[in-house]
Amino acid sequence: MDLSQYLGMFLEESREHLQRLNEGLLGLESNPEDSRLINEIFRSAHTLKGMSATMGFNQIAELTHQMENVLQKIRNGEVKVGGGLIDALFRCLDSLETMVETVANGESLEMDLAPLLAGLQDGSGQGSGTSPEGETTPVHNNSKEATPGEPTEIPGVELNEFEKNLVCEAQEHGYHPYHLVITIKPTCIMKSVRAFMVVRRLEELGDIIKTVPSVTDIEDERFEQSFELVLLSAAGEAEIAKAVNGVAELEETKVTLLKCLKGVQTAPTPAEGKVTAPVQGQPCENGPTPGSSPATAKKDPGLPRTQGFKTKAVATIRVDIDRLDKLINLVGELVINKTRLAQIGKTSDNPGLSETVEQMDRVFVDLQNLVMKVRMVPIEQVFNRFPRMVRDLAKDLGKEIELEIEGQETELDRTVIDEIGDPLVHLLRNSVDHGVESPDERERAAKPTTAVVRLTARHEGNNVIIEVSDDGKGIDPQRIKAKALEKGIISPAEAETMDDHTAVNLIFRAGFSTAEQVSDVSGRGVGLDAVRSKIEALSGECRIFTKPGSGTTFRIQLPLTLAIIQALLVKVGAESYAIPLSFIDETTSILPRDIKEVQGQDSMLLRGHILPLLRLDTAVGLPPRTWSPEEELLVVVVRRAGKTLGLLVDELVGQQEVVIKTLGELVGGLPGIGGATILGDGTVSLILDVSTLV
Amino acid sequence: MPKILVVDDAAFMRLRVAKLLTENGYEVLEAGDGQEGVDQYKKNKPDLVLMDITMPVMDGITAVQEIKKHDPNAVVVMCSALGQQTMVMNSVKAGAKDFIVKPYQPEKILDTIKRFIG
Repeated sequence: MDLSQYLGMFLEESREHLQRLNEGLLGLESNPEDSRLINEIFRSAHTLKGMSATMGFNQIAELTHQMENVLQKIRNGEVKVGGGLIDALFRCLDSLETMVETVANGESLEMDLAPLLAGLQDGSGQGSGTSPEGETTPVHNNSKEATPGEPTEIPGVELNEFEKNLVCEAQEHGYHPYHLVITIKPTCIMKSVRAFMVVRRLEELGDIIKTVPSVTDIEDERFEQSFELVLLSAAGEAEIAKAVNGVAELEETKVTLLKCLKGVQTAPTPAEGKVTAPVQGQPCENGPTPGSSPATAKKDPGLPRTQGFKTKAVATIRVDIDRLDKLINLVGELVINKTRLAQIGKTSDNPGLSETVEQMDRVFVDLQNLVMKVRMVPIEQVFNRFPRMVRDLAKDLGKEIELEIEGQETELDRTVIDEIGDPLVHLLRNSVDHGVESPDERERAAKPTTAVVRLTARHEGNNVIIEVSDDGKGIDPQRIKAKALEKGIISPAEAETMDDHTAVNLIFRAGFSTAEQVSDVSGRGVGLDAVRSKIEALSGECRIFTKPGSGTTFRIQLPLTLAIIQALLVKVGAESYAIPLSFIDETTSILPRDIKEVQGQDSMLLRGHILPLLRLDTAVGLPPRTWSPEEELLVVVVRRAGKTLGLLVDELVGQQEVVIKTLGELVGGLPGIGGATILGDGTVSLILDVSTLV
Repeated sequence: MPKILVVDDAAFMRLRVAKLLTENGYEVLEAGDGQEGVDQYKKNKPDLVLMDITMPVMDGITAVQEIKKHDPNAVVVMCSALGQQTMVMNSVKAGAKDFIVKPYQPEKILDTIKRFIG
């Protein structure tokens, strides 16, 4: 079977499960007793293990297997969920993510899993003993789980559900459960070594599923004269006694065959619980088992364990984004041709044609809307990873932060979703690192010690607004000014006259970073200027609102989609250009004699403000047209990043929906040109990239 | 006659043990450090090895590992001083079958040997 065809599906599902794991662990951290969560996490880890093993990604399988073991212990209540353990699990998740992405990139990567596994061991309170299955610490049965009337066969040793399952399982397969009490002579020197030798010998005969005290305690000699263990073995009683007595300096060895635990109603482990109910006469559904217990070999990876996730998959199908892009391109072509047809219909006197065109027009609008919708993805995808990130950051920085997310269901074009992640990461890091104060500082400022960082998304007309806000210390314009002066970004003269708003916006300038020390959190050499340019590349806008002492808000405004936009068509000379409507403030007109030169720059006065002017014809390399003195020149006022510019054009054609086509590699990268579109009459119009003009 | 290899860097200790073992009907081979012990083992394949832990050139634990690599069924009994518990534990993990704590008591040595080879 060629598995490569399943790779795409594997990757998608893996990412989904990783996300689930991330969320689950986050939840578990604040709610360690939530058994439903633990089960959910366990299931995801388990599915991931099965999938990766099937695909032959052994390292992923190995790591998930070990995580599963630890989760199993959490589930059984053997291990308490603590910060160390959660951190260790998170680290494993990170590595899994790396591994999955490496697979996605078609590379092969061998990671050193040892430190991660060691972390898991430490986190679950275990030494690096050689027999993980023996290291279970004694636990008391959760009485809720125990079925009434269940025989408690073993005095002194209590088995939990999972261990009972193991015992059952072993009995099914011809293993006998033994209970051993071994007493070491009081004269014995180094009794821990003796005890360890006993454990060693018994391991050769079968599997020790429990020791009291734990193997670690035995090794560290934290026991009196005797210790107990439960062994699953195919060997007879005599053989076991003989093996134990081969060890010197033992006082007494008691071997008891445990009474049959068969018929004990075991709670099926949730991994299978939803899928297969225990079959009669086979009461022990084998749960996922740790280590080298005899049940391990019998696990059937083909069991449909993932039903819980599959039900969701039925309602949706996964489509390659490339195909969607092609689809939208085709629809774009159709839209262009429809516009042409409409024009022909206008000029011809065939009433049937224009009627048909009108009908078609309506269908097209629906089609176009539908296709656009298909490309829309909830921003949840991007937001998902932030709770974890903020948690880690806050932890690193010793801050108490609560991340509130709102509007994650807001839908955005897939291309925008893919691009918006990095800027948001940056803004959030910025808020956590620079915006939010330390708990001490907050207390002094009479604020609650836990800061709130809010991440919200919402639709506003044809735009999406994403806001990152914090209730931190805000931005001090004076400090920004001082810093900008120091860095030589502004001159002392500029600083004198600069208003607060402009000063605050200095943080978007290249080369500006106010972090006193370069921390590895936000001081990564990429400033907020990178954020702004990225957002502008998406035809969006990034604004900042701040109030010293009470917080800062970054507001990002993005167009819903990048594929089809509303544009104003203008003409210079014989050529027509499209200006995205989202950049246009207004249009106005001016007489040539009203053009003034301010600091070497043609400008005009618009309602008392100086508006710099740019002749579009010269800007795009056309020969400048000579104006007649009384001619009213048309000005399109465009705004970008709070700065305005007046474009002098010859003619305003009108507003139109245009399908953006990239220029391709050969002519791409022209300054001032963001793409091209085909107009209704079949001519090509270039789309102005306003951000590079201003 | 069963062959026993005594590995100890102290000639005096070897002498004492050798005397005890010969008197009780064993053939004795001797080695002065871990490396020599491993070499001897490979050459003569003794039935049992009494191995000191702290020795020059190669320590006892490493020697156990080497011998086990060569012969997984080798019977190696560690001879340790008091307070070498961790090292003894490591030796057992490395494959030593048993251990004797110094100072030697003749009966202990003989008992232990008898348990493994009649």
